[in-house]
Amino acid sequence: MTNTGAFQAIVRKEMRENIVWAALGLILTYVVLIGALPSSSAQSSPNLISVFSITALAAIVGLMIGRAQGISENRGDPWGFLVHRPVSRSTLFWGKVAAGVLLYAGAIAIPAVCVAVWLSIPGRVAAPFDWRMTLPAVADLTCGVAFYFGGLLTAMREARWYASRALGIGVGFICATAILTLIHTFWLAMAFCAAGIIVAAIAARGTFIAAGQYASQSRTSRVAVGVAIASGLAVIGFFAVNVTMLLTFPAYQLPQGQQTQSRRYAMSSDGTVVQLVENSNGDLLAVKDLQGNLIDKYNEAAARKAVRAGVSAAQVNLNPVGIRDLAPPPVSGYRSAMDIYTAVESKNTQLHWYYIHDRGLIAAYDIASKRLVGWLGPDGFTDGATLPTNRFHGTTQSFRGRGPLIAFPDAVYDVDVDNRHVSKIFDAPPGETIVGADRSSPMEGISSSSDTTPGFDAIATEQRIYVQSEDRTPRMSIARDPKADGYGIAEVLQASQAPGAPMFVWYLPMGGSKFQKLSQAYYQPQYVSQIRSDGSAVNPVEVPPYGVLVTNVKPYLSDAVMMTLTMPLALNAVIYTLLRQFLTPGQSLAGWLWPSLFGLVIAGILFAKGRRNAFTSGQLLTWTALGFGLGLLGLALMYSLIDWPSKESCPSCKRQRVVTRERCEHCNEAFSAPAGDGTEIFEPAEM
Amino acid sequence: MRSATPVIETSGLTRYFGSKKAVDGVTMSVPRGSVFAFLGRNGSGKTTTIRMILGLTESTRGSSRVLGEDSQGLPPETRARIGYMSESHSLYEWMTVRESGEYQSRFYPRWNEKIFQAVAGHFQLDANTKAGKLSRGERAGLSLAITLAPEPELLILDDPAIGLDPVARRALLESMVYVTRGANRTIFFSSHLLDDVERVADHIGILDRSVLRACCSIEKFQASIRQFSLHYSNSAGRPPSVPALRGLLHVRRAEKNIRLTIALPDAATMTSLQALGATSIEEVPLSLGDAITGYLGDRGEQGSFFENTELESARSMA
Repeated sequence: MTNTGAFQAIVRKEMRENIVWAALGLILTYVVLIGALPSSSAQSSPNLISVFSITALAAIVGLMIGRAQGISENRGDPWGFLVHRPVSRSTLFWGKVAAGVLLYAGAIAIPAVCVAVWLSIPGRVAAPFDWRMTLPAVADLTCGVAFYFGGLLTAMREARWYASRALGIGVGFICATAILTLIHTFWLAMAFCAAGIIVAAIAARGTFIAAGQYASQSRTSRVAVGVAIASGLAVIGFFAVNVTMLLTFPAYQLPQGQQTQSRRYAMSSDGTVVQLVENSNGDLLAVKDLQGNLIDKYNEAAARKAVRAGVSAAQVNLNPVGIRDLAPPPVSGYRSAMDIYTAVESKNTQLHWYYIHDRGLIAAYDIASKRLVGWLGPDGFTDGATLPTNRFHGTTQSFRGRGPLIAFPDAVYDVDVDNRHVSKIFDAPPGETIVGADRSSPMEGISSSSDTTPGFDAIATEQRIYVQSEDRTPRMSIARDPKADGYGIAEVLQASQAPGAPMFVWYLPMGGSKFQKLSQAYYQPQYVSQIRSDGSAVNPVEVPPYGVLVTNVKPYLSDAVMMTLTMPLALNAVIYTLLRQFLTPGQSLAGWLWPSLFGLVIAGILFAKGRRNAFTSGQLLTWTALGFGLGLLGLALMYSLIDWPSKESCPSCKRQRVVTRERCEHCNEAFSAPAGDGTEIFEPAEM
Repeated sequence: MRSATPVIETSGLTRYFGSKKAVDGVTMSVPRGSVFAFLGRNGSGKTTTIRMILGLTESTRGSSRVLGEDSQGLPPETRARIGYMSESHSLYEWMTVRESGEYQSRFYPRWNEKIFQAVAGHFQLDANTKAGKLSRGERAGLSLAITLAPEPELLILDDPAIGLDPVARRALLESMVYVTRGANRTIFFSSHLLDDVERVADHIGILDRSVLRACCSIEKFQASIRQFSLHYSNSAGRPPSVPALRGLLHVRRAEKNIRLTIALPDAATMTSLQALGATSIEEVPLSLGDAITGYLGDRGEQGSFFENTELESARSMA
């Protein structure tokens, strides 16, 4: 018989044995998907893409099948019956995997495809369907394979259930966390999951071949098992640290009745930049100048409440990348419908409106019949399914469906879906590309009924910011401030109650360059200038970085201790390198010193433990380095992976020696044969 | 016919489970063509040794070779030459008898369907019955059929007859011996059933609390274990206490009699026995079963099982 025949036999046997788990997974998937189907209502547009976000489900089904395949014949006679046959253990393993992955994929993919096909039929949901909406399910399905291998690894590993046995599923958790919260791009998510799958598969295969033992695996699979277990420890550590902080938080809470305070900057009604101090309830406690001095005229609560009266603002995007890289994946990227369509707010309770990016048109869906009823394009509304000839051109980056303006690279349109009317309000000047547009509105709802100042529209191109009245009369244009190069947002403000109702441009660093993170934005200054009608900037103000937002709470010593204890030195190094420009030399030194000292202590513990257990010099070096670099994680990893050998007294040197070596590690004496009692009956082997 | 190379060789084979030493320094060799009985009391380490020999369990230290290959890295071609039947007669419960045979046949290049059918027929197995529905004897039959059908050179059976009724046991032995009657085929089996050992084995290995105490031919073993009955006349009083004799396995004391089981007694042993002052010394012939039982039993002086019990007191009074 060939290996192929044997492989097929294994696959068939595994499929037959585990089909019940796949059936259970299939039913579970159906239940979850059907439960997640959106219902149309006048209040909210259905979100189809959320139906296909099935990370937890894929993880559960993957784990369930992987564990079931491994646990049924991992020890004793069933293990012997499985592996004592003329095929390599590797072939047996891949036979199991082929069957398991097929069953797993079937359990998830069959219901997912059925639901997708059902949703794609017109009249099911009052929203556009696009097959790209199923990409989250594809990524989750792939991520579940890492959990599947985690389940196999867990079932096979020789470890206690209440200790480190289940830590192998950590790779799956890391993959799931990454694709849910960090990675925007589908192919990058797939690549990340593939890397996780490779690690988990190597670990599971090595553990299977070694019948659950760690020490006898190849170096590659030992590293893979180490990475898998370290991932699990990191996940457990993350939860442990957070739970600890949650439980100990009352210990360093503020005195009773006192709340945390935070500060932010704002334009006041008289056209000056002020600092607002608020408590956690959002109550405005004080209004200060930029130097931190209280401004007397805002001592009364009523005055403080009106601090921004008459100020209206339009917030324009300055960066073509826009919100995409700022928001987490569920809000943007392939796990969001943002790249496919944008729901447009409407007062109409009969229709849902969507701007569909690929079509360059706004689609209207009837909530009752759930069918497409027409299109809104540059030429207005068209009934029925016939597509209008003219479309909007280019990609709109900043349109979120809330304001009336949609900005395209070449033009800005005022869209009124309730009246089914579209008008072009701005054409990009030659050589310029529009990146954002917004219509002004009163700041944070604080407006005065006596305020009759007309609103305005602000449009940003890559070079300039244009301001025009709602009737399209140009009011001013200003070159973008080079100091704010790379900043993400500009606010155009008008303080209508100040003398002359001056206008300002306020550059905000958040949402800026592609790699800029939200936290870093708080360490960069903001720039505010008053704009004259000829477009010149006057009275520039540099608003200091926010820095630490919370002002009246001292940094917790416990936070520093927790970071030192839990963060691997390598991670500390990365963090302190990234933040070095914001830290004092003392803080930088402490950031390196404490984790290094702690790493040395852990390295010493691991070295001593290794010496006592007769590690080879290579093992000693590896574990000492891991102890230094990973700190507590290294220590936990060692205890999770190493099967400590028993010891017995050496008859020669009387010291304790490990039983796994052929010779005493202290005196090099071999183990003696068991003592005879005079009843031994042996004869030489027949030759 | 025996060839020069042993089929199984172990050297200092040791296995710990935690701090418990399950197998301690087992060094033995199993001659090709032999029927080797591997004996020992429950928990003495037989199954663990077999699993280490087959590379199913790693040894803590020491080594073993099977058919010339290191046990821990047996290549598939060598595994194809070894038939293994586990203690629990492992089978896939959901497979029918026919499916079990078909499944196994996919792995073995030398699968002999006639042997499978013959053994299955011997146990009167219905081809369409699922393994999970078979009686213990039938399970053993099916397990043996799929073990023998690949015509292994070496058959390793871990307590194959455990829990079987006499008829099934007999059928098992007959099948086993019939199929492996060919030249250079070796059977290595563990067992508690001394009748079976006596009937088929020609070599024996005995584990006593994880230590291999005997490994030799049946003839040598039987010749090495001897039992002597020392009689004392009424006038001599109670028999004296027995001094520490080399090879002393077992002492059974009665009112006017001491029965001693001794391994490898020599002239010095006989002199020591004479010195015990018995009226007469008589050698008691031992069957192989008795010899093995004597060898496996607790060492030293043993009273009657009923000694110091109410039953014994009542019997004495009567």
